[in-house]
Amino acid sequence: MNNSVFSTGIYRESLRRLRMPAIFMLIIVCIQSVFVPLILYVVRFKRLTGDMEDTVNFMVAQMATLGGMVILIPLMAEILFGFINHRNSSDFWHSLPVKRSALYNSYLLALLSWAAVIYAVSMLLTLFSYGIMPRVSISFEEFWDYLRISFILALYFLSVDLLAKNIAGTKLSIMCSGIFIIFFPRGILTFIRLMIGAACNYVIMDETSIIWGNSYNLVWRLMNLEIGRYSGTVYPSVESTFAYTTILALVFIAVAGVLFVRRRSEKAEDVAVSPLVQRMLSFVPPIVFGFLPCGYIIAFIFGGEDFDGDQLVFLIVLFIIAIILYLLYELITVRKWAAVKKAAKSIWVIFAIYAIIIGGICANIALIKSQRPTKDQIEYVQIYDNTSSRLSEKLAAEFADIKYSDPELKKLVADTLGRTIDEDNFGNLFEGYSYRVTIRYSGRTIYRQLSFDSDTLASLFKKNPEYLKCYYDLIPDFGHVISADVYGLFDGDSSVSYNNANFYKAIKADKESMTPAQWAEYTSVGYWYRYRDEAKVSICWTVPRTPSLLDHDSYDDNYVMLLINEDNQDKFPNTIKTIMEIKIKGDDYNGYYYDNEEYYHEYYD
Amino acid sequence: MIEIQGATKFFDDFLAVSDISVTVPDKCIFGMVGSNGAGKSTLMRMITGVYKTDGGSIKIDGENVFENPDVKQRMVFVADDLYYMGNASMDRMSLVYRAVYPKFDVKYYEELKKMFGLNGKKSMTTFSKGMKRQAITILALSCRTDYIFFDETFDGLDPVIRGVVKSLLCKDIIDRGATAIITSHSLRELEDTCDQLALLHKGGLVLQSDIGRLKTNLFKIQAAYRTEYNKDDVLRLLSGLSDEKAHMLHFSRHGRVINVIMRGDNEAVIDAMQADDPLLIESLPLTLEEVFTYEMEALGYSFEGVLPDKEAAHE
Repeated sequence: MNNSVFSTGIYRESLRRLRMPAIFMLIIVCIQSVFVPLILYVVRFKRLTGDMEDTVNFMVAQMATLGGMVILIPLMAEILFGFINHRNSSDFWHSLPVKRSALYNSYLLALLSWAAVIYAVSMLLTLFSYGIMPRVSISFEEFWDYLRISFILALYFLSVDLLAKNIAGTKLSIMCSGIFIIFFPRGILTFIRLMIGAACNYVIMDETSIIWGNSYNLVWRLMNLEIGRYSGTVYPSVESTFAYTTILALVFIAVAGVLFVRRRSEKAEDVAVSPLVQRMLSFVPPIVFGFLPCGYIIAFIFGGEDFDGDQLVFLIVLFIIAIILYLLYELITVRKWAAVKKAAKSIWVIFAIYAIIIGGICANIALIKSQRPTKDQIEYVQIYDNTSSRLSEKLAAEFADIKYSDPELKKLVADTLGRTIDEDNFGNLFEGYSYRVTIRYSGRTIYRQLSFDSDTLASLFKKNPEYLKCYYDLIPDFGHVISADVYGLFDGDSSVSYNNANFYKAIKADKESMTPAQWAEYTSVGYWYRYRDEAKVSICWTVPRTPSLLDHDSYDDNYVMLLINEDNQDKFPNTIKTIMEIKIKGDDYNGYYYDNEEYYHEYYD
Repeated sequence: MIEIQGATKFFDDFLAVSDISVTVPDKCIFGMVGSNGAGKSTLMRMITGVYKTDGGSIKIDGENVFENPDVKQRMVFVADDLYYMGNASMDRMSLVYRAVYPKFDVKYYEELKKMFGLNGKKSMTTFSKGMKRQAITILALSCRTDYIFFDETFDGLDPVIRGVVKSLLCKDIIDRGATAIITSHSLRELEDTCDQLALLHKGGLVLQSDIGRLKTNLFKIQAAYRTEYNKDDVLRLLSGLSDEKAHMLHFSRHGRVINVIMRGDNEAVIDAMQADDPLLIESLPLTLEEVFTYEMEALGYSFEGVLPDKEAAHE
């Protein structure tokens, strides 16, 4: 089949061309998936007896595949697509009776076909090798996650490589272009976020935003580039990162395909596909370096410090270095002095870009600072408790949906925002206990990170019927409770076991005997979460029924530990210091909330 | 038939091919010659759909070539700078051609390999320059296309192999009605092989003609007069003829013997020059190389004055 989209002949030919590296990788995969498990069995797993169990660590078990494919796939891309950067090969392949789009698609499919074969062989062999071992368990979830990480990374690097090859022409310029593609766009956004965040650290530009959040990009996330993070940073889910990176890779592949088809054969061995593109690439190093002087200038504008001669000299030196980087990039990629002289005429563009960056950021900062509505202007606020030690992501989101139009709460928010803006100093990273606040006013919505006195806030919350209802519904309906752990009993952290089913029934009965307002008085917002099949609630010692069960002492599988609310300590023995937390473990998943965020932190941090 | 109308090609600001219009009839061997950097290879890449034209059109049997697999299946292109994959052997490269050229003749390919004495299983990196060109030529001819394009056809080939390649090309033209466009700096070979010729210089077309007419229109007159004649004397004799009938390209003199390279009417020029009763006058045909040299000289492409004068050196 040969048409404008695909060529069977080229596809088969490409499979043939990739045979050698693919077979080499398959050999490594077989060694990894057969011999390594065999050795592990002899050395470790064979010793397991009786009820002993061990788990396969898939990152170790699949290391050759996971890491190897990330290298192999771009290498295969070089074998197939590298022709466009050499004059004689470019002329040859472009002279053949195949449409360029068909050439691109056929090459890509051949590459992905081999990748699929290698992944499949690796997966099946590994699962079989470990699956037949007694007492060795496999976490399919972990296996699936690592497989996806490897494939998505390989796909992403492939897409960047294809894009770079179609933009640039020499090995050095292709490498530079690849690095720019991965790091420059996110780098610019990170810089803007840092500057705005430093000047207005109450603004929320965190990792859950697709624009500001670097954690959506799997490369950035794995490299753990924790730039501009603060203690309350909320991350997107792992699935979101996978989806984002995959879509980004597919977009790059599509764009690279368009450029591939349009690329002129005579551009092979040129530094870039056009003089304009070369100029744009050469601007990247000075712009990146320019973050330093630009940040310096912005800090002066908003930091309130005096600008003297020394700082001016320092700035001039930084700008000179930026210019040198610009001309140096041109020199080492083009390797002609004439090109450097020509590039020198465009130095003014760099400063124009600096001016735009500084101007844009300053304008945004000024705008943010001007956004300080009065309590009468505010339509409603939403408040989200985003520190995971207090409320889990899901639970916090439930409370965050509540729109408060209570006058007292609106006044609190307006006053706090105004004070925060007035007291904010450039460069102070936000610290301390904070809430994510959504403020709706004059037809617009703004998002701010504000610090409130938690007791004041709690007392205002409890005047809101919607809040009370939400609070009331926090205790989940477990069909069958397996265990209930209560922390921090009597002597600090020691535990006491109680009959959990009765305890759970008691808690539920206590709750249902009260109105939401009464229930809110007995409980504390702190230390609530629901995680998979667990729910953690904190209940005041003075609820009618639950504490009476403390008399029961049972050391079976179901045990309960109690924590006591500090506010009620005077009513109880001195040894009871902390808030009563009851962690209830159930086996009925229907009523459960599954909290991915907690899982991620447990898994990846 | 290949129709090139106003073909133009820029490389950034550089005009590589400037408004060339040429028609290549079917079933012929069409030669392209020109000075270095004249645009021959560029034009050939435009015709074979490697480069996209920046102006004008190039059609084969009425269809555009660029990104047209149906048309490109009827042509095969061998560039001046040969390409083969990695450590590929001839047989391995034949698989590439077979993948995209449905008419690839395996039997013919095997015959040619045997004829040229090349080992199809050996890596082409071990071949000499000439052997590589032989190999790619074999692969191209085995595609059995209607149009065959060879850039620097004879580069690196020994005289015997050149003869073989010329014969094979002619055989394809005669037996299959193919059309070949070839370029070479070896004008001697082109003279023997080509039916038609185009001369390019600085991106433009200088002339296009069939070989016979080219040699008829350009000729050398060798004459000896009783006294030493110079260029002005000859121009005086020819002054009665129009430029079309008598255009002098070159004049040289050794003693009383003059050599004049003329474009125009052979008989008219001889008649005019006989007016002063020469001791000797005869018309000699030019070789293609001489045609090329004198045409280029007329365009200012010469290096006289750079090299030492032969006569002075001899003295």
